[in-house]
Amino acid sequence: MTFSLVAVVVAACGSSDDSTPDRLVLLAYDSFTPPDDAFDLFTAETGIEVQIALGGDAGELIAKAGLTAGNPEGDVLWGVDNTLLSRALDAEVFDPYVSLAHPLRPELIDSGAGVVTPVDYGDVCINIDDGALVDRGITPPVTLDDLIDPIYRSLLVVSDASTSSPGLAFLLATIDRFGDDGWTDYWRALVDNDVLVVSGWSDAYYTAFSRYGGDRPLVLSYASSPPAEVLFADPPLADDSPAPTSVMVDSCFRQIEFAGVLRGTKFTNEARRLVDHLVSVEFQRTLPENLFVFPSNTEAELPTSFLRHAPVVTAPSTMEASRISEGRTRWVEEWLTIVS
Amino acid sequence: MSLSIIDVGIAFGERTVLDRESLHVPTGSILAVVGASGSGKTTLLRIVAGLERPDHGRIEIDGDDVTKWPTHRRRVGLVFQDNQLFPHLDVADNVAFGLRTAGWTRPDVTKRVAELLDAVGLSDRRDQSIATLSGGEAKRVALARTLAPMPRIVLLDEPFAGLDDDRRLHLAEVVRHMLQGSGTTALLVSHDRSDVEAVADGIHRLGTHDAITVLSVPVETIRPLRREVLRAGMANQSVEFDGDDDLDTFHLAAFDTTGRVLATSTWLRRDLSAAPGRNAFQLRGMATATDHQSRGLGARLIDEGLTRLETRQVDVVWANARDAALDFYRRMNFQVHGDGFVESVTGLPHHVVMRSMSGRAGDISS
Amino acid sequence: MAHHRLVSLRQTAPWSSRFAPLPSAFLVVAVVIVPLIVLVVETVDDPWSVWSRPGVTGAVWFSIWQGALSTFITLAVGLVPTWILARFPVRGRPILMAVFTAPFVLPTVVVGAAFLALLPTSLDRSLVAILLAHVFFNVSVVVRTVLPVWRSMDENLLAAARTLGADPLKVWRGVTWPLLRPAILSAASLVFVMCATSYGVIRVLGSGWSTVDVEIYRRAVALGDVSGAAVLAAVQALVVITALTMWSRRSSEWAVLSTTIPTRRRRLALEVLVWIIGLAFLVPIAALAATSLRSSTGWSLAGWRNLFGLTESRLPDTKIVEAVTNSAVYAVVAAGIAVPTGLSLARSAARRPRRWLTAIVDAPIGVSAVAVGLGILITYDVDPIDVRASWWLVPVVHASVALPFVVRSAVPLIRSIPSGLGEAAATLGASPWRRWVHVELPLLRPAVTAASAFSLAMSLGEFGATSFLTRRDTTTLPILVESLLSRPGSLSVMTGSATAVLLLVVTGGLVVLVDRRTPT
Repeated sequence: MTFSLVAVVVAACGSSDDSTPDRLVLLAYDSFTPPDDAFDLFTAETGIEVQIALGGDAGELIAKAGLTAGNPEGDVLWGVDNTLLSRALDAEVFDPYVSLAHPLRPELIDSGAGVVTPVDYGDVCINIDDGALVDRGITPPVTLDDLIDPIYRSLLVVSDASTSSPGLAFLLATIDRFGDDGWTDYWRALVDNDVLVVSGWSDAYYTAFSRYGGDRPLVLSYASSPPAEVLFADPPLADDSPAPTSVMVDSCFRQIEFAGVLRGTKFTNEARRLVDHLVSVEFQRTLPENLFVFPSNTEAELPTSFLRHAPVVTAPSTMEASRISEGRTRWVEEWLTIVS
Repeated sequence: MSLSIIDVGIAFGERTVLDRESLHVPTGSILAVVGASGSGKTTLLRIVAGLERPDHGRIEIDGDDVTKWPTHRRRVGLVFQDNQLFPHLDVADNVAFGLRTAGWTRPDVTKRVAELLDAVGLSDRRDQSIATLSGGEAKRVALARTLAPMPRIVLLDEPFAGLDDDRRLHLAEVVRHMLQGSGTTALLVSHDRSDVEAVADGIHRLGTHDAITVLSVPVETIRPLRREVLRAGMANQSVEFDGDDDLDTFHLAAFDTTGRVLATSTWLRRDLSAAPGRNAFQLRGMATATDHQSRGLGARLIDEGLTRLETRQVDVVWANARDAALDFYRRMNFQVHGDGFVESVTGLPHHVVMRSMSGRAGDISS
Repeated sequence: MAHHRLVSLRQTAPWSSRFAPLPSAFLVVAVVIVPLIVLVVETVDDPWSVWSRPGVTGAVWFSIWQGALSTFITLAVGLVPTWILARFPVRGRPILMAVFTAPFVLPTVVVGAAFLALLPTSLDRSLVAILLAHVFFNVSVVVRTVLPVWRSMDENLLAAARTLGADPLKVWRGVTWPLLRPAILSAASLVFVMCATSYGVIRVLGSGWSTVDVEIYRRAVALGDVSGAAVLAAVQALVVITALTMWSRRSSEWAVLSTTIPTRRRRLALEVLVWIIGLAFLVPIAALAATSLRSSTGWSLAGWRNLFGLTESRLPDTKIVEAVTNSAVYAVVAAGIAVPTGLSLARSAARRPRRWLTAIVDAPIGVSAVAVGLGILITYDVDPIDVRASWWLVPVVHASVALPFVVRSAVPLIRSIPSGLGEAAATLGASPWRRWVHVELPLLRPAVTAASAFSLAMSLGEFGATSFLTRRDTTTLPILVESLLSRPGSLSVMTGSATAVLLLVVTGGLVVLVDRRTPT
């Protein structure tokens, strides 16, 4: 039976028209869920269908892209972020192209190293269960330093920096804040203050977080989580009620996501047009309520839920992609020894 | 080691399988239990072995009430109908199982296993897997295994089932030889009386509520009763009868469940002058314990003896009967021969009574 | 009248069965073994450096001791219901069988979520959770492997030992244990391998703990060290295949098939005990069901209504219908591959087991899904064999993951087919074709049912390999569950949990179907 399958494959790969494609493949992570009509405009304008191909989380995506550099599985890749960018650059995954078709936030453009286009950003921050803190009679923490204060002992849960993206982001935030020499002391203090480290975001949020039955009112999540809490509340919340959770702005680390043309694609021009589409206003304005990220296009307006409930983070921690790639492995390994 | 089954009954759910069964097997005897399929024969054996607990009644081995004892303490061997040889052990290890369990030393085990395999004629198969054995061979291994640890009682469940005639005969010889050779008491069950006649000393029918067991026994067993009844008040008289040890002689005894001998009779080949040239057997030493008179025990013994003689080409059975016994013999279809008395060893007057084996009462001298 | 058939397992196989195992071997070699070898060859630069990296030797050690501990506890927990179900009449036996054996095919991401919901958050909870989850999954292996052997052990065999003077302890040591030992060891070796190479459970539940399989993922994905990952993957594969081949003797050589069913006395205390254990196994599922009904203020059916499309979904692109369709299609295709190849292998393995074939077919059990995924990526990346992102790659991988278990479940069923029936039919004038259609195929039906149900269920629940492979716009139920549970908001977690419960019920139901149809 497998013989016949191979025969089918051979037949199918025999034909391909090199001049104009009728289809482009957009690689993305599993949770890439744009609305169904997100690419209709693109198809109408160019006559090219966009086929979305999902495969794992961002890390897995880049690992795969690295191995297949030059002979990629698709034409455009969505979802490389600033923690992974250096690895992608080193493996020469992309064909350099930064889209200038639409106005993008200036502070984001350069972070793409001239190779990829920033498509969105999100902030990884500590979220606070306001009601739980009120019940305990504790004022919410404001700065990172507050978290090592004994008042907040045993209240914080974060995810594993070696396996979870927000976990890594938070680690980078502390390194950015306290520097190469100070971050280990900070984390030792956190450990002394009984921080709980769990394997993933889901575990932290839905099992340890006090809002969902756990006993920790401070959880590592995203700046876009409070609007999600409102949108997906059950029973539904009235539009003007406040979000049940809030964000500790001082803890935020900015994650920027990029899209790029994959090196080795047969249709470079068309792929670039697709990247242009990804930063167009029509596509960008669907991002907040579908992917729970902030658009990089300055003209894309935020929906009401975000305007009302998402914090405005003006000075998040950041780190250059090259610095991340240089230090990441040793930071994570050292972090593991501190928290284990 | 004697075995007594006393008033045993068991029901599975609503079905009564055994109802007030009693029997006694004296030490060294082999008793067969006969009954139709489903009559509870296997269950009876399982109760004696301790694999089932009876609802009422008890089992006694040599006077010990073992009804509550666990199986492994009873030292009662059981040859299963389907043999139940251990598949993970070869022939020799199967036979050795009971010995090893009892803690025999290795040289003793080897010796005993060799002995038994030799006795059943399977010495050349000792290292083989039991999967290679035929039905008859497996049965012999099972027998060897059961007898190896010298159990007090041996139980056999349909030992001849499924074997053809010559194998059956051969196996019967082997079984009887091994049991008698070791003086082991045995109880075997079968659905077919003819199967077991070659092996057993006596037959017990299931379901008859009969607490008396009739068996052929060695003469030592019956001599005490002879003294008590036949030679009552005649202390000097011998209770050893001439011909007791002849080849064709057999002695029958009836036991109650305590093992007490209630009645005896001796049957020996002896010509009768009144019927010259005919094959004749004499019935001697008919005695019934004084407290069990008039309960038909005598009749049972005579029936049993006559049944055994059926296969032996006997023409006539005769006895010397006292006056008081004449009515009894007449009822048993014996005829008084002649008018006069004959002399007897005791000096008391006797008549000769006789009976033709063809069943016709009547004068056979013509 | 009772009798025993001692099945001799050394029968010469007809010529056609010599070729029968080839498709399954080809499948595993093409999907698992070749990609792994290519991965090692093309990415490994220094095979020694990975061993000195922090966490790696710790992961190896953890794999071994946690695997051993999990196996020990699984055996201890699993042999109790196995014993009771084997030796005593139990009311509601089919339900209990389903409860104990269905967990094996359940998706790890779902079961992980259930256990997380159950256990209170405390420092050591991850190790306890890992052990509990392993026991939950693998008791099934113990029951499936040991129960048939124990059940067929004739009560009278033990009675024979007792009449030979053996007290209960000696009966166990002299008869029961020697007859059970091959099955128990076989189960134990499989459980050990599965626990030592555990991936999904550790990733979801085990914060801070890492097995070699998780370490492979970490090396390749989080730390960008594909070379190190490949080395670990290759070593793990070799060790696992060797271990399985050596210890996992699939059958006892003397299969005693008893045809008597002795009357066994009912023992109420043991019935109650096995039911209590069974109910304990239902607790994780109950916890998940509870999560699916719990909103921020109380109980609500919103998650379930969302799942069945009964309300307008506020969740963006929940794509439940699509996920269900995709999962079903993948499952059917995977079964369509795994069942015929697996059964043809099982037929020849039942008659004459061959070590090298066993080794190959067992490979998917112990090879890292990440390594296979990466390997496929760089092996089949050149025309004309560029099959990356082809829709059928996923079901093919599912089929190779299910294959070893399909074979294991089918072999004993095929063994129990009386071998003389085909011959009898031949003497009655039936041609080979007629024999195949009218005698063999109907007799194979239990094996086909079991193989199909297993394969379908495993495919439905597969997450690790499926999510790693690039799929053309197709989401499956387990992936949907994972993405729903990765999103904040009560509705997300409720719908995600409801989907998880649905998935559990469907996969569990498939397995129940098997047990109802197979004669025990």
